[in-house]
Amino acid sequence: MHARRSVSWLALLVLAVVCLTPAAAHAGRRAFLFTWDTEALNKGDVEIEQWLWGRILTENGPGAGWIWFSPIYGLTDHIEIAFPWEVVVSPAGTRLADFTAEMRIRAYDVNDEERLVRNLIRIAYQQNFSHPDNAQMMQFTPWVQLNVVTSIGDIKGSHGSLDVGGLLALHFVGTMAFRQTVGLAYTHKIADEWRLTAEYYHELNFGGAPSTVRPVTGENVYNFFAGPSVGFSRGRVWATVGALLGLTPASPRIMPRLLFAIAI
Amino acid sequence: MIRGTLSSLVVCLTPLVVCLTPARAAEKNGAVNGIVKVRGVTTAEAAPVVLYLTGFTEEPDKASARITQRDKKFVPDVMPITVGQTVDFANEDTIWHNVFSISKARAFDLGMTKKPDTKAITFTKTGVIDVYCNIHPEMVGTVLVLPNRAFAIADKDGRYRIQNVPPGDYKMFAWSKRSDVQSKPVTVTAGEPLKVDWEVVQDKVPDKHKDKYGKDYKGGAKY
Repeated sequence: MHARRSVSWLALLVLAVVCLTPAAAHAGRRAFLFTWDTEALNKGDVEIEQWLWGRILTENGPGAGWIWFSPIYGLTDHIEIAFPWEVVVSPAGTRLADFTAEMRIRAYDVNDEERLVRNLIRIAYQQNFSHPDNAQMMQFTPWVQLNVVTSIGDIKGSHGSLDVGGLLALHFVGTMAFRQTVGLAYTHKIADEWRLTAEYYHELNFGGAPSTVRPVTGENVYNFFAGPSVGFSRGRVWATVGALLGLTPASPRIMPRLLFAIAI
Repeated sequence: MIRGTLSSLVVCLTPLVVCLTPARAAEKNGAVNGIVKVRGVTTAEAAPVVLYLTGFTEEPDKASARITQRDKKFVPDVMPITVGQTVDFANEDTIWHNVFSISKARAFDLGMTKKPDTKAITFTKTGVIDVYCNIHPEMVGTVLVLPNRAFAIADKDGRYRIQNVPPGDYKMFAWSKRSDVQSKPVTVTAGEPLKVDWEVVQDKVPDKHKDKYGKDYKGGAKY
């Protein structure tokens, strides 16, 4: 299993290197799989973005796949808004999982070339409909999310980002659910259109709600991941694909994700 | 009494010193002037010709330069500045514009702006910066970022004058977007202006440019 995984990553890396095609274009806007970055749309710009991702081979079973879809709009020079919805596919069936309203506030002037440190704050309200993480809790319990992101380096080139986030279920009767996340990633631009990225990500769950504790031991669910990804951009299109691998026996084995967007 | 005399002397001498100083500075520096003859196009089609010198650097003007978007045009459409200077891009139209550049020397994207929005960009590298609007392909402008303040745009009669040039050996250039760049070695001396005439053939048709995504513009602005 480990040898097979190593071979597939090597193949992905070779494919990325072989496909280098120098061309004048900006690099991908979302360089990372799960870590938020600090780039946002300029005022008036619109993108349609989609993610396909999964949690595979979890402690509780085979896992689930997700489709995330959203229009994204540059509301002002500093604020980008998005309204994603998610569908989850699992052995239990396919259902509408959630709908979110989110705002990403870019705390810097995008045309300031000299700036090396950039900050972004993401605030989101997620209305859940049939979200698996809400199982055995009120199904429609909404969540609020906050991410504080800092990136260092050339935002359109090679840079690193730190994303510290939290997710709180708005259910205060009985058990609660709170998830603290940290993403740390570095992306390196290897050609005008291509980049390679290494990423670390963890989720620490608290509160006692069923999704936050392990069913047998009752321990809090702490998941740790790391993995690579490849990013591509040309003209109006960008894409990032890769996978995070579970670093502990209890973490999901793999979380693959494909993100892509088209500017309109 | 001595103090009073001294201060009176200072008061009397100061205007003299002040008057003499600019003249001395002018004597220290030279000037270049001349005539640019443009061939290959009609007067109405002729593109502005910028004359400039390289070989020395100067601090930029502290005041910002200004390019307005008016009647779906950049005014002026050619702006020479000194490296380190700021340009204010002011929208004076009641319609949206999205000013951008993908030039390597300075890429930027001002987002959608409308009257009276003004956005400032500081140019920290020398080069030719092509400026466009992502909504209106007919809007084309150029910012020339130069190493010093020794530049001028030829007037409608082709005359130009570059003043306050430190004496020395330099390379002088004549640039326009419809011609190949020409250069000549020049030697500037203090006092007497150097006369350098040019003949510029404007037979180049500017390339069709792409939008900020590097793609062809879609037909018809919706704004």
